[in-house]
Amino acid sequence: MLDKQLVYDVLTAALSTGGDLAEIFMENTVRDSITMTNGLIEKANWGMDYGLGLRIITGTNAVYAYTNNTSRASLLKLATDAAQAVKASLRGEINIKGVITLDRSERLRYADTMVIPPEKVAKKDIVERLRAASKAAYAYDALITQTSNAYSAVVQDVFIANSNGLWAEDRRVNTRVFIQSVASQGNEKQTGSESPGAKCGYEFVDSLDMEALGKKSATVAVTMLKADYAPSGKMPVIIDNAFGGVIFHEACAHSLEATGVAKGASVFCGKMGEKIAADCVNAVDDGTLSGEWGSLNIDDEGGKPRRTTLIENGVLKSYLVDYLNGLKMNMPSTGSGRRQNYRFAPTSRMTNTYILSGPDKVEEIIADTPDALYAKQMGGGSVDPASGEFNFAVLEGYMIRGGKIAEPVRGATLIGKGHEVLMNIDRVADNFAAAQGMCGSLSGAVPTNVGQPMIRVKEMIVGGRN
Amino acid sequence: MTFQAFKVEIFAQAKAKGFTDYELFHSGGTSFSVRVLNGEISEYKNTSSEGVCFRGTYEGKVGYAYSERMAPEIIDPMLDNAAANALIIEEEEIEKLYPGDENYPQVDSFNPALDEVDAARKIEWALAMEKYAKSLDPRVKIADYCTVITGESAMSIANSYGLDVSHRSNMAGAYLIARVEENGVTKSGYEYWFGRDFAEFDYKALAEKAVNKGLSYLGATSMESGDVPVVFDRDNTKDLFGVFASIFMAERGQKGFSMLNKDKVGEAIAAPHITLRDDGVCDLSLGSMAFDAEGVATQQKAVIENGVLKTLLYNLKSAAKDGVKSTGNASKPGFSGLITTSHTNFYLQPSQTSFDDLIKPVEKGVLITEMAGLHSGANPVSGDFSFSADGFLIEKGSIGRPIEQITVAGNFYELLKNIETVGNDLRFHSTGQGGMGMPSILVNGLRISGM
Repeated sequence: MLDKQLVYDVLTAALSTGGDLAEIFMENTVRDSITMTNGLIEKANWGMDYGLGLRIITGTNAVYAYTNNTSRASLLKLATDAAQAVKASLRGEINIKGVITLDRSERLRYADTMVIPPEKVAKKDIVERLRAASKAAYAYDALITQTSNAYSAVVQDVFIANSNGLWAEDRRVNTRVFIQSVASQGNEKQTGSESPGAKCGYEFVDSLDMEALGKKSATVAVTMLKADYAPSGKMPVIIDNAFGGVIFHEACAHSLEATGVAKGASVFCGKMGEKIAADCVNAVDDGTLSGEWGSLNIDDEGGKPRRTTLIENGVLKSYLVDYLNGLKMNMPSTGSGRRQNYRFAPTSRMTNTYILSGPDKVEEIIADTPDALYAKQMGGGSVDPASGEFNFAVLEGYMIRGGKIAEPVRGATLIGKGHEVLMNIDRVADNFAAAQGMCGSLSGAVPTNVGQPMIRVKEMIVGGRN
Repeated sequence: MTFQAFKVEIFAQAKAKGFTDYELFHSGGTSFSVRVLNGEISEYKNTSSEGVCFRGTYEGKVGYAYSERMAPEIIDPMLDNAAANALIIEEEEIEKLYPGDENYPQVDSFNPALDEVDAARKIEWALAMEKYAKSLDPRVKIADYCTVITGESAMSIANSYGLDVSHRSNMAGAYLIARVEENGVTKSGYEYWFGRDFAEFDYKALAEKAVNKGLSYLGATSMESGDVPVVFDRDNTKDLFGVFASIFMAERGQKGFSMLNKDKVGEAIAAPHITLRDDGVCDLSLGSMAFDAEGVATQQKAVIENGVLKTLLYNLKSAAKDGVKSTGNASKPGFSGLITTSHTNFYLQPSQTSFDDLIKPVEKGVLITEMAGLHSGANPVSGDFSFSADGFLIEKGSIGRPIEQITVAGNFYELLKNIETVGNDLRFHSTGQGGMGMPSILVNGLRISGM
């Protein structure tokens, strides 16, 4: 995206007053989205995000600057101003300058395998697919009164170079659909939704059964409309597979990010090699999986993604580490440096983060549970890594009574403390599945997968109303 | 390519390509922030960015395209995509461009004195704030995200009907999360200041509030589940209304995603002492605007007055559908977003009741000072919510022991009717277009879940 001389000049200017590493992250991102409401196209948008972020690392501190004017004059000013900031932040101390070694750099080029590029797709085709989902939802039950369906495709071209000789280009393609149905009766409304996504082109949408997605979202909306409120208080909880993995994402994995660990603001600080979960818990973060929503060719500081074992038989094996926090922790990057776009400095983030399958059978777990909440479909959540206190939403729930799935109950938030709840997982089934989400944190919103088989937690606080 | 040159070029080409009218929205800004940790500058950030959004009528429908890159070669793909987007729109009510109003309210949103505060001064404040916070109590382990920030932004809208409006504002802010530790348990206290004049910034007061908040949570435990009176402090009342503000947007009700619609105007939907206002210009907020995202002049109005729904919030399209005038509530989430509807400065009219008097009649209840899971624990369509919460017991009219690991659940439509008392401690939390501020409230009919 930039010529070599300009890259060299910008990095040189950036390090002119000190600093150990200077890094350029530039992107050109094309976004396409279409929204259908109640079966009619209401909104369509197309746009281009474009800009460059410059980071200068000095010791374990960083100066970050960005602009979307990428003319030579503008970039040199950006770098010179940033260098003045380095000087200001050093406050008189002298620092060794980073060494610029672009001459030795190996040019790395990556790209997602993409059968059908989003820009080659006729908008009419997308419209018809969204319509199929909407029609199937309305056809499912007369109680369905609204539908809201959307399509989104993002093609992000990035260029990353640094003064250590990194020179990398990557094309990332993420495609997703959102299917929501609303069921109404009297003064009551309830919703159901499905939102599958993948890191590949339009062939992903081709592979989806849109009618089935519409029908599935409608089924949940109608079931929840007829359900009573969830119970309130402490009780055993069975959490289903796929998006159920949000419990590990919130209760544990965010607190394993070096962002908090490096400064001592995580409940899992200093726990490496110690038991932090029940024996039956094995968990990984795997950015290498082909075509998965959270996967990477390279992370946003040019690092190679990998499969990192986080927890093995309950023992903490690794944190999620980016380059800068790795310097503070004296640990190598785990390929976890990510950012939403050029406006954010990268930090440690998840990719595809899973609890792995265990030995149990779904039917046995349910049959062995006298009374519990069965959380079948989950929404998002959040956590404070410093205290480990987390929450996530159940969108579709049922009661378990006498080892059988009984009446449906409406959504409620489940809460707990990560370091306590991981110890309370006592059953892990063999039916692993993954699901897609957008994860928000210090460096913005990035696509991540959550995933797990069905698990049982001995007790959690269920925030219902009955 | 400058914005002016880009505008002339894209308008000429839009006309040539068959757009019957067209508009360019531009926004941009600069920001500075410094974050310190352990006496060092851990992040120093300097930013500048801008972008444009084109919208125009093609074959009778409005299409959009945006770009952060203003170059001659981007004009073609922008216009082609805007035209293609227009062609697939199926909604019956047609979006229209606006020629502008005769008069716009006066807005004072820029303080030139802010520019005179240099980076070195802001760095000093951030360092001093961290040092002071850590000096207050040995249990303060980290003064996390200790940040001083300033920013400046500008936006303008120009179209082929002669609309040409612009807005400029600046702001400053500071915040800190005090991480305090006792017996191996960490609690956090967050405090912020946002303003337009550093003379109002008192880093010591900010640090003290954050530390005291963190310390007050030490020793917290859960509580038994039950239906008890709940007090939301002003920041949490603001969060609660923020989650459900969309129910007041006419376009949501027209499409069936809100229980409120034009037929509900004139009905009592809240307790009789509740007045909820939406004022485009409000001295207490940093988010005042003279015009909305379609160029319509903003207004001062009651949304709920003495419990009765007086109006919904409209943009041009939703107003045309209900046969009323726009209330100046068109909104655009930056240049990359499409026209939608939002509140301007949205607040519950405060009463004369002090916070102490608000909790005095509560025999046994809960004061909520922190909530989490706001994005996931609410269903804005049904009004149902269930949030993770922290706070304090209220016993015999005064604040008791700290509480953690509880949820608060209810329904927002029911809550509006169950607000027992509104406090007098209104404060706005706003950094951009459209602010929101709420006083503390006392509410009945909510469910607390705990151990």
